[in-house]
Amino acid sequence: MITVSNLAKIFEDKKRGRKVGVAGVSFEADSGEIFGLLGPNGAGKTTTLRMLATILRPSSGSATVAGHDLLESPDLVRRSLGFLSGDMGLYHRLTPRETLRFFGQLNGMDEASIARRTAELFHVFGIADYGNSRVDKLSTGMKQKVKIARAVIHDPPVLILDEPTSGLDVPAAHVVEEFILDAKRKGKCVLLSTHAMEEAEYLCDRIAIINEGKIGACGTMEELRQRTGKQRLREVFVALLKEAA
Amino acid sequence: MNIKTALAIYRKEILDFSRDRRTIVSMILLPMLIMPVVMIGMNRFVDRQQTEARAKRYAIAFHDPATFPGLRAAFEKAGFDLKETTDPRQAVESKTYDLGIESTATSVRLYSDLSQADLSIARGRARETLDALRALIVNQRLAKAGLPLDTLTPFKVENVNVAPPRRMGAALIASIFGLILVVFMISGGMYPAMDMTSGEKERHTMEMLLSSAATREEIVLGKLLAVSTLTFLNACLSVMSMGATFYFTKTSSGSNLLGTTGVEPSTFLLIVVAVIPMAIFSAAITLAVAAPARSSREAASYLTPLVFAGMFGGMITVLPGITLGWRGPFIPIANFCLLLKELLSGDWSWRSYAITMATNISYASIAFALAVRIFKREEVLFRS
Repeated sequence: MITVSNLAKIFEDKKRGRKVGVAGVSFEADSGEIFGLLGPNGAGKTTTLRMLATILRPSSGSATVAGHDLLESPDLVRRSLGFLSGDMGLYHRLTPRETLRFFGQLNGMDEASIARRTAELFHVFGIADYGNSRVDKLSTGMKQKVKIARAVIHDPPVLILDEPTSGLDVPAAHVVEEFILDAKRKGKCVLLSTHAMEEAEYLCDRIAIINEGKIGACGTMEELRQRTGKQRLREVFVALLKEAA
Repeated sequence: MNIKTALAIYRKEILDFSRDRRTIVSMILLPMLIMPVVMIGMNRFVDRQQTEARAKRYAIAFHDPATFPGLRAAFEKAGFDLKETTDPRQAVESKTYDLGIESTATSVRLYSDLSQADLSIARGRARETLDALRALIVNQRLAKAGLPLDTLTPFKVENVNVAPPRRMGAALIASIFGLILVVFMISGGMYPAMDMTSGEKERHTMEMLLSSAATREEIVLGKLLAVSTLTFLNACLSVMSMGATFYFTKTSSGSNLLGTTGVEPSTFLLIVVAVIPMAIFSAAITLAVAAPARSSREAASYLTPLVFAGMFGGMITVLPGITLGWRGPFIPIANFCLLLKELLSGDWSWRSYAITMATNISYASIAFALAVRIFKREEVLFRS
């Protein structure tokens, strides 16, 4: 579903000069798999995700999403994925229902499909009672649920989720985790980036550790444990970062 | 490009905007109220000042050592308060008196402080009094010499204005109409353009939009249509507001200024049609200029010079003797203002109208292409 080959991004800045955002990452994530991309701040996670969402153009390398090449068919790539980045906002003056309808329309859905999918997502995330309230009146957790619902309104085969449980309390985070697991059960490919190690350990089938724009290690939780001799993902993560340094 | 996607973005932007109180104030209330309040208020204020000035009894420091015949009587009859002083110049300089009169054997000096604009009516009345006195003395002398009164004025000069009342009224309005309209259009489009570009960056919604299935062309077209609609709405409200202002503005003959223009409904329709490409052009430029800004404050600093450019272009219509001609239709902004001026004065041609429209449609297309190009530059959209 996602194939990334030597994907790199170099930012050219007149004041700061050349800055390597991503130095060349390669990985594959299949349908029915939750693939975790973990790394410290500034490691290149968001840049990688933005390239896969065709928001940033890669400096070199290639990638396909749901069989569509990033550079050749960016429009088809965007149609095939639901993208949520860590600091995405919402239109504060719209209601959740209007937000979902808008993004459904952008994805070419007809009104009946939008209504059906909206009802389904409102039920899954428990936001039906707030569907007609303006977004700026909602709590942080409720907004986060609306952001996820917005990203998946068109039921895409690929989900790219950056910090999806950020700002959520435990019950709400649990709802989101169950949603991600359900997406996996439905055969979707989920690329998950998070700082919540417990969440990554619980959800991810495979995990890649990215640092300074490069992937240092990639494997199942068990493979990473064997490589580092550590049990908890937090310890595995720190050990792999030290190994890469 | 999928027009349905662009229209979805357009509808969302308009819905979003209709819920913003600041928009209602800056785009609807201000254009509707500022012009009538300022212009009608100024008109009434000036009228009242002039009426009061005409009725006021001004104090004159009077010194008539030559006992000029009829001088004192003429000023007393004209309603001035005369006070004898030995130095009328000093009395006016110290602002003790409004004016000063001093006679010599061969002249009458009128002292006034020209820096005091509020005394211009007093000066005018004093000059009229002196002119009347001089004419009276001349006539008396001519009669005494047995000469006819028209000896010194063998013929009169009569100025005959051949311009129809419509052109006179239109000339007054047309000289400022385009200028005001362009400034209102650009400034009215500024806030929506900022909100839809740098505002989206500030609220972190731009990335959400860019990662949707919509292409950059569809995004820019949707936003362009929204800013154009709001700019057009602003222009229409400004026209209505100016119409109301001119309706309540009295000319020297006492009739309302709007009535003297005789603008026909067909002319009004032509103006509205001419506004459309200008609104799109203005919207595309404001979007392109605002897009690279990181914040609304930065966008405002980029957009403010555009208002000055609009003012500069519009001021061309105020200059005498400037017409569309063959070069005028190709000058951005000025072509629109000159076209409006010619439409209002009834002195226009379909050729100029068509060329100006085609030019502005071309400029709008170029500005749209520029805006799309800017929206495709990630270093512009993700500046930090």
